[in-house]
Parts: sequence; structure tokens; C-alpha cells
Amino acid sequence: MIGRVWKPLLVVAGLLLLLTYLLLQSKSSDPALRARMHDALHAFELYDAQLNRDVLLVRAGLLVHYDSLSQAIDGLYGALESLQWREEAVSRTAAGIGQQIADLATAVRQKETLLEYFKADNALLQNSLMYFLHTSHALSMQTTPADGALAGTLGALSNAMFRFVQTPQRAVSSEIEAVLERLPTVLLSQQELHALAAHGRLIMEVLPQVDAMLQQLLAAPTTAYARALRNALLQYHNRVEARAQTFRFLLYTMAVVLLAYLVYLFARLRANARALERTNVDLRREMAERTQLEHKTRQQELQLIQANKMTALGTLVAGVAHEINNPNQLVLMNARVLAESWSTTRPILEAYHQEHGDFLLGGLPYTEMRDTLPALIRDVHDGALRIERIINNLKDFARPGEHAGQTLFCLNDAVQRALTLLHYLINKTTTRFHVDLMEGLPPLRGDRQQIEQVVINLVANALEALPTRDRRVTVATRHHTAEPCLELEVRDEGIGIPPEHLERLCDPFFTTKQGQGGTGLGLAITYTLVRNHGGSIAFESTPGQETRVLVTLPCAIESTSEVAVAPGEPVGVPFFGDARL
Amino acid sequence: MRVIAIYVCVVILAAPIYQGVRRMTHAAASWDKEPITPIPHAAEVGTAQVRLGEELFHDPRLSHSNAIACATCHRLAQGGDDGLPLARGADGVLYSRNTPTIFNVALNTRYRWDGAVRTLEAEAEATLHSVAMMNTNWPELLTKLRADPDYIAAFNAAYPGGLTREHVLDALTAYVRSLLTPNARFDQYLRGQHQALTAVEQRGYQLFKAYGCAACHQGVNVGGNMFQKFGIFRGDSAPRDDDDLGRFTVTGVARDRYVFRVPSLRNVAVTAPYYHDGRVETLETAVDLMAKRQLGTALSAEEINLIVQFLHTLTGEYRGRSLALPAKETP
Repeated sequence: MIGRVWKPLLVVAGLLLLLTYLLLQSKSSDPALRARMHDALHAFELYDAQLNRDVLLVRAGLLVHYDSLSQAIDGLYGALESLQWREEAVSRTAAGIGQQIADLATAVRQKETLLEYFKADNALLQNSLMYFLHTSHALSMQTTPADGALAGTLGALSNAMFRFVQTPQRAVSSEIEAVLERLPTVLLSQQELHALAAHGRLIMEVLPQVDAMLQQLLAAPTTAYARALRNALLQYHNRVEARAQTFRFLLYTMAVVLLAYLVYLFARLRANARALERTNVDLRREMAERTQLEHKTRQQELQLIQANKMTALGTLVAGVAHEINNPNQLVLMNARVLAESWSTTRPILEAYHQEHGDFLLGGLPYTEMRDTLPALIRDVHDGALRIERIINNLKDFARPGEHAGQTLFCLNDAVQRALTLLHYLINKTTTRFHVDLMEGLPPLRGDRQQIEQVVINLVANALEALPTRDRRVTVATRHHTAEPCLELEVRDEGIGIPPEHLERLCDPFFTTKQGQGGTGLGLAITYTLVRNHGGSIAFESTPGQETRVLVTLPCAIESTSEVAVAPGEPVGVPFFGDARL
Repeated sequence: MRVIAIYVCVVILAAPIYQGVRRMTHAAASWDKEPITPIPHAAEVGTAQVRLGEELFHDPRLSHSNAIACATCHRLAQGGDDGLPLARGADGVLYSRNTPTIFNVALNTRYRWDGAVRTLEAEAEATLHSVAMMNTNWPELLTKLRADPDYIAAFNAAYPGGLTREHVLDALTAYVRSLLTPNARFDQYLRGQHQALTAVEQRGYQLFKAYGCAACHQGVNVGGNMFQKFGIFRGDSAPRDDDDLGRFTVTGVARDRYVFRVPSLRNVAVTAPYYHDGRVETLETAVDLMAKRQLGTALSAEEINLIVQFLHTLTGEYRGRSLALPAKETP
């Protein structure tokens, strides 16, 4: 679990680290550094060119002091210092450049040394030339016509020296040497001549040296090194730029990868959430199904308990009914005998009364007794009849199956027959009676009369519950294709049933209408009848508002074509009026 | 048609080029190039750094024994040197060479007689460290300077970093760079005031050039920017073993034997004695020695005098006053 949480985090963190690294690596070479190195190199090349130019000017005698040469050298060192200072930043990644700068510095130092020698020798040369020219001029001024030979020699010397200075050639050098050898040694101005010869030789010695050094100075590798360094720097910067370019591309790629990974994670999250949601829905449905199942089981249990209770009651009632029925038949029979006996006895007693006047009969005066006795006999008879009816009802409750036929019939027909029988009662009790029968119901298998009985009992109960005539009673039939079963619903806007009574509604002899002559067997019988047909009955009630009775009956297995609805028989349910709670 | 158009274009383009070329050739054609250039008037003075440098320059705490300041040997009231043949250091150690003037050192390109030092900063530091000079070191010097709250405040005011080695050197060199002596009579002459020099002095100058002195003593500082061998012509005096080998002691190159930095001749009249070992007391002797050693000839007394006369015109002004030796020392 921890691994599953940490893995994406580690991947993302790793990618971010990689991105940072690439970002750092993708930096371009510092443009300021680049510009400064370029400037320093540019300055270096300028000073180098200036130095070369000034060296030539000095040699040509057009520049007569060395300050500008020093400035150029200082400039070279300044540029070099600037390069070396910048080099640190570069050489960390490009070692070759540091070496090249070091080479350049060496070249500058060598060039400076050479320049110093050049300056010294050139100064020597200029010095000697100055002195040579000055002295030869002074000597030629001093010469008298007597010294014609000397004057000629001096002229030749000056001429040769001029040519030598112009183009230092070995032939001219030899010529000068010859002239110098020929110089007279014993003269007034011997010292000057001596110095002249010395400087002449010095010129011949130093001039080629100076020119060689000039060549060396001009050929010094500073220029080439500077150019090489410039190329190396350019290459270095190009390389850095190319590298930065590569890293930038990698950066972009990594960013795309990171994005893709995040999208992948997001998609996975979405998928997980959806799966979770689905599981949740499944779970909830399962729970609902289980609850429904539990409820159903509970219902079935209750029904089983009820059925057991009823069976037990039925057995009990059947026994009791049988035991009562026999003595009751005697009472009934004897009551008739007593009635006939009274009608035969009365004229005799009447005649006796005429003769003897009033007398006591059974403790009462005859005149009173002759009016009361028939009523007593009738009461006995009627009571016995009533007992007989109750006994019959109890028998129906206990063993209704005895009469149950096994025919196919339509529920709607049973309902309509029942309502026809109740026509009078319905009109008397309510103005708002609704019937809502679904067309094309599948048939039921069983006893139609018993189902009619069920409808009658339920509708009669509903009507009796109405407090006023403007309350509604609705009878409806429905077909549940899913189960498959038929539903009969009787709904009334009556006084309702208190919740504590709902459990006991179908118990025999449970009644709230003791005073109105209810026996408490109506719903018990209804329940038995419904159960005989494999159905169930349920009550819902909101006290003071409405009561809903729902009877569920299973459809016949046979196809509807087989329905041969039994022709309607006259309804002759004996206890119609008495089937009350 | 096209030919005419090209021609017109060429003419239009060529006109300014031609004029530019003419201007250039005109500028290049100049006569009488002088090997010496005048000292610029503008020197950086009066900044906080220069004032601080001046204070340091006169502070004996810069020497190990607190005995001498820079100004002890470089006497600004006189020629900027100590007037002695050889330098004497803070702790009495004798240096083997003569103290050069401090004036116009900014115009030199090499320092010390042997040119061992290239920059003024390095020279200042070397002088501070030298046993024969200030004989101090940075920890000691900085500790001493930092003990002075005035210095701390002054450095903090003048430099962002306060009192550091670099800033001490910078202040010192800034001050030394300000020690220029412009407006010498010869400079006035170079700037076109020909009457600034007498006829004798002008003849001296011509002789100075004619004998090739200006071949080495050239530039703005009349020397100080190159090396030359001392004694091209040895004459009768053969080199002795104890002779100073000069630049050879720095480079070790054979041809640098007896090679010295050509000294500046600015203010030469007030910076006696002369040469790297202070061997000569007077200018006349110095010029004579130069002629013998470098030219291989002896100049006449008149010629020497002319050149000496010219050399006197190289004495410049410091703070508006011409440099001069104290009255008692002037002959």
C-alpha cells in the first residue's frame, strides 16, 4: 500500500529533479562573458597591430620615441589580463582555452623581450647613425683643400653608409670596411676618425641585427595565437550552445514525459474512482436486495405463523362446532315441537281461562304468559338458528377447502359479481365509489365464489369504515408480470386501523364491532380463503385518513387461452350480511 | 547607359575617399619630429584616494621600525630623491643602487634600475617588502594602520572595502601618479614657445640630438621606457668583477650584462648624484662619462656645457613651483 503511494511520488520527484538538472545544463554560455572575451581579444589584436605598426615606424625613423611601443605592450598585457581573468569561467569546461591563453601570454612576454632588445639596438643604431652623420659632416667641414684625399674618402664613406642603411648588403659592408681601413691614422682629428670608424662598424654590426629582430617581431606568433584563440573561443561557445540546445530539447522531452505520466496517473485515478463507484452501486443494490429478501422472509414467517395459528384454530373450531352443532340441532328441533305444541295447547288453555279465570302458568299469570310464550319459543328457535349459522361459518373457516372448486376464472368477473351483490349497500354508504379494473388479466385458478366472498368481505368492511358519504372507496385489480401474480386492492378513506390492531386483524373472533353484532370471523375467513388460493393479504393504514388492503393471488400456470370463465351463478352466500368484523 | 551610371557611381564614391586620403597624407607630412614630448598638465589630484595616498606616503609607520616614510627618501621639496649615492633603508641597510626620483614615475614603463618590476603597484609593494627599504610586511603594516581610527575612517570614505592591502596600494599609487612635474621650460619650448629656451639651451638640445643622446633619452619622460647597455665603449676602463651586472641579475641572459633601464632625464638637474650607483656628483661629469662610455668619444667642455644647459631646462614644476635643491647644496 505504502509502495503504491510512494512509487508515483518518487517518479514525479525524480522527473522534477531531472528537469532541474536539464534546466541547469541547458544554460547558454554567458553572453556578457562572451562579449568581454571578444572585446579583450579585439583589444589584443588592435594593440598587436599597433605594436607592429609602431615598430615599423620606429625602424623607418618616422617615430622617434618609444612611448607608444610601451603603451601598446601595456595594452597587450591589459587585454591578456582581462582574458586570463575571464578564462577562469571558461577553462572549467574547456581546458584547451586556458592553455591557449597561457601560450598567448608566453608569446607576449617573448615579444616584449624581443621588443626591448629591438629598442636598445635600434637606439644604439640611431645613436651611431646620428653620431656618424654628425661627425662625418663636421669632419668634412674641417677639411682643407690639402686634405682632398680625406674629403674624398669621407664622401665615399658617407655614400656607402647611405646605401648600406638603405639596403644592408654584404658587398656594401665590405666596401665600407675597405674605406674604413683606408682612413688615415695620423691626423689632427684622429680621435673623431677613430670614433667614426667605431660607429661605422657598429652600424654595420647592429643594423642587420635590428632588421632581423624587426622581422622576428613582425613574425611573432601573437597574431596567429590570438586568431587561434578567437577560433577556439568561437568553437567553445558553439559547443556550449549546441550542448545547451541538446539539453533544452531533452528538457522539453522530459517535460512531455512528465506530463504524460501525470495524465496516466490521472487516468488511473479516474478509472479507480469509477470502479469504486460501480462497486458502491453494486453493494447498495445487494444491500437493498438483501433487505427486501429479509422483509419477504419475515413476511413469509409471519404468514406461516398465522397459517399455523389458523390451522390450529380451525382444528379447534371444527371440533367445537361439531360438539355444539349436535345439541343445537336438538334445541332447534325441540323448539319446533314446542311451537306446534303451544299452538295445539292454546285453545285448551283459552277455554280454561274462560271458565276459571286467570291462573298461573310457569309462575306467571296466563294472560301475560299467552302473549310471551310464543315469543320465547321463537327466541329459542331463532337462537338455535343463529348458533347453527355460526357453526356453519366456523366450519367454513375451518375447512373452506371442502367447497373449493378448481376452475379457471377471471378476477375481474369475481369482483364485478361481488359489487353487483353489494350494489345497494354501496349506494347507501358512499357517493364516491371507484372501480379500476385492468384489462386482459390472466386467469386465476380456484373457487370463484370464494374470491367473490373475499371481495364482498373487504368492500363491506371498507364501506363500514366510512364516517361520511363523501369519502371514497376504490377497488382496483392489477397484473404483476414480474411475479407473476394478480393484485386486488381495496382502498377506503375511512377511519383507519390503529397500528396495534394490524397484527391481529385476521385472528378469529377479533372484532371492534362487538356492539354491532360482529363475530370477528369475517377477515379470518377472508384470510383462509385467500390462503387457500395460494395468495396473501396485507393491510396498510393511516388512522383517520385511509386504509389499503392488498390481496395478492398467483396467476394460473395455464395459458390465457384456456380461460373458460365459469358462467356466473347467482351469488348465494348465506352469511353475507353477517360477515362483519 | 549602364557604363555612364557606373561612372557616376564611381565618381560619387571616389570623391570622399580622395578627400580622406588627401587629409591623411597632409597630416602625415610633418617636419622636425621631436623625440621628446611634453608632460601633460592634467594630473589627477585632490581626490580622496590621492589625499589618503599622500598621508600614507608621509607616514613612517609604513616602515618596519617606524623610522622612515616614503617621503624620507623621496623628498618632494627637492628632486624627489634622497640626494645620496646609494639608498639607505628603514633599518640602516644600504641598498646597492641609487634612489631615483619619485617625480614622473607614472611616465616610466619599467621600475628599478634593472627593470625588474613592470607596474607601479608591484613596485610599491616590492619597496614595502624590501629589507633594504621599508622592511615591512602586510600583516604588520595593516595592523599598524588599522590601529589608527583616522585611517579606518579615511579608507572607509575613499573605498567601499575599507582598509585592505589592495586599497593601501591603490591609494599610494594614486598619489604617486599625481606626482608629475609639468611645465618645464623645455616643455614650454616643445609646446611652441621657442623663447622659453635661450639660444644656448637650444643649441644644447640640438647637440643632445646630434650626438644620439635622444636615441635612448626620448619619450615623454626623456628615458625611463627602455634598456641600454651601460658602456658600449669601455675605453680604457675594463669591466671589474664587482661591477653591477644590471638587468642580467633579473633575466640571466648574456646580452643583459651591464644593461640598465635608461633613466629619465626629467628634473635631472636636481637629482644628483647620478647613475645607478650614484658614482657621479655633477651633471658635467655625468655627460662626460656618457659620451665616453656610450659614444666612444670625449666631448669638449663647451659641448658638455651646452648639453648641461639644455638638461637644466628639463626641471619641471610641482604644485606650481619649480623643483630646486636647497640653497646650501647648490654650488
